[in-house]
Amino acid sequence: MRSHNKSDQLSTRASAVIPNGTYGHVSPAGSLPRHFAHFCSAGEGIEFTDVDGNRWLDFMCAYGAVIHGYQNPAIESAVEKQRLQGTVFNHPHEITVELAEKLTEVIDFASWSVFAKNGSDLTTWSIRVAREHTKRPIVIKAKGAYHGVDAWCDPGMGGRVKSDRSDILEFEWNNLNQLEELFKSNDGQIAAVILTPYHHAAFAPSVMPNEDFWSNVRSLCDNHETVLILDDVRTGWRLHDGGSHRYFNFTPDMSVYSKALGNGYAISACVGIPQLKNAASEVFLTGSCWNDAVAMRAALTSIELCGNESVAKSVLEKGNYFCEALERLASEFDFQLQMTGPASMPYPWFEGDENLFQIQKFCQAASAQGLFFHPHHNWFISNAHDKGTLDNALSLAQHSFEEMKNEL
Amino acid sequence: MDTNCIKAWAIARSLHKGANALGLKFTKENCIKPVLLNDKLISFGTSKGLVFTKQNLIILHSKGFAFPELRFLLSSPLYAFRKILTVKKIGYSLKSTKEDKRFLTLLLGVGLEATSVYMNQNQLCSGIMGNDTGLVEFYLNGDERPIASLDKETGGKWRVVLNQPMKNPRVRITFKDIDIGIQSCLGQLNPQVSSSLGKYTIDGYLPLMDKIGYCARITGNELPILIK
Repeated sequence: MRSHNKSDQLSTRASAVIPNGTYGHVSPAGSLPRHFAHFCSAGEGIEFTDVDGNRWLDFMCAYGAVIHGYQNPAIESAVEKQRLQGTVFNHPHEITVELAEKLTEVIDFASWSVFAKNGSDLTTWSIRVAREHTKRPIVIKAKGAYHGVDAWCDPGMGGRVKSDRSDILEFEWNNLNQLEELFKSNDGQIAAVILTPYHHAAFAPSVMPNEDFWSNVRSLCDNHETVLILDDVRTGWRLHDGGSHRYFNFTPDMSVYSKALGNGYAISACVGIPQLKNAASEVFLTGSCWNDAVAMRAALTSIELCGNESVAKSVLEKGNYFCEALERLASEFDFQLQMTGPASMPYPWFEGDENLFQIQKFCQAASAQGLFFHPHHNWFISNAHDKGTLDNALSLAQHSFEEMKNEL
Repeated sequence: MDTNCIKAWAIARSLHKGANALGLKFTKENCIKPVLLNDKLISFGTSKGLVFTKQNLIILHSKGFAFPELRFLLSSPLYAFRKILTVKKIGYSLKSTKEDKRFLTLLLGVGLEATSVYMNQNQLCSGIMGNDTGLVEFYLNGDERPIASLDKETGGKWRVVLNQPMKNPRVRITFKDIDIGIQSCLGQLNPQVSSSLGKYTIDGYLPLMDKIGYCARITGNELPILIK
């Protein structure tokens, strides 16, 4: 086990002044608390250093918030220039318009764009836009899908009342019969269907859409005059440089982005079709620091890099190389490992490991080698990973499989 | 079951589980396994010597004393007296200052039993648990056998088993030492912080434990284990 002293000291200090010490998806309790660091001090490219000075080869990329590597020079340089002019003012900075223009240029169906800070800000706002447009109450989502921290969708249990979800219906991912049934039994009441491009629930293997899934969802929404919202927060720019709908060949009415958009700077965006622009104008939207010129500059540079360097194609190729090699390596040690979901953001799944003991063992062993492999969340391949770093990770993973094998 | 009924039932079942945890041996006549007699009464054992109204059971929990139903007590005074002694013994044991494994087993047994009643009967808790099933085992670091297990099979109800290894746990919780286990049972530890700092480890399917933990805190808020 790697040194943990300063992480523990900070956790103890944090617990005195912060509920749970650390909360949300970065809470150590949700991963491998005695094996992973609790606090980071620095990061560059595909490596980060924890507060105890341990260096980690990263496969989580700030849970997807970084796609070009930590401290990407092009982004940091653009951000630094922007910072010298200021960040938040009485009025939006010119960059706001530039970024909206860029998004409506690269996202084929988009004619307008708005900005906030987190995915949740705009998944929640987008369903209100759909309600304003349709004058209907109900929203349909896939069971187990994550769309943010608000009461209509959060995965927690506290602070919720029944009415929070009284107009939220769910169906099993890929089960079109169930979805159709919801439309039938709530005819004329469904404002929106909100979905991720594929099903990437935590603690479970990722599930890709069946071949006819998206075309049928689109048809159902069209036939019932329901708004189709794509939650592209986690996946955006990792499957296609023009939005993940292009990877699966369909067109949503609105898409929400965050994570990779700002490469570590807090920004989210929602884009939409022209027909929803009036409704979007009616639904109030603002935040103290949402007109953040620095984050917008980071986003603009990140999108340009994604286009210039064909990042989505590149991370998919690198992911394929890595996932296939890791699966092969596992099978050499008689483990049936499947890297589920798209190769640029694979979720590792050992056959028959429904209770996750095996993946936890593997990630524990990998952590001793300095690999940051998460046992309960999909991993991320970034633009900063290259063949050399992936080969290095595979070589370290081999030791982890060896250790697991020896323990059997 | 209404709120008071769930509370009273959880108290009665916890007392019985406490007796199990202490290893008390029962005959048919002095057994305190609770039985719901009707809307208002709960009997300790099928022989009806010791019977409480639900309201009086709640008072027994909060004040440490309540009158049983006299008409039943007078019908079998000897058995009723032996059962009262058993209940008192559990009460004394819960106030023990000896922080040993027996005390931890007792606290875990009564706490989990009350939680299981809430997960089975309380609308909020059963809603949170949904269709989840599986086995959760609680260990003391270094032990090969679990101190206690919480289990539900498909179509069944949540139940507590003490000191018995079972098969294929979904979650395994290991307390670093007895003191940590006791503090955990008494709700004195923040689960996220304690798990982060290694006071206990949780392996396996964490979402199930998150739900159980939340239900345990709801139960603990309504029915704290009274040790003072």
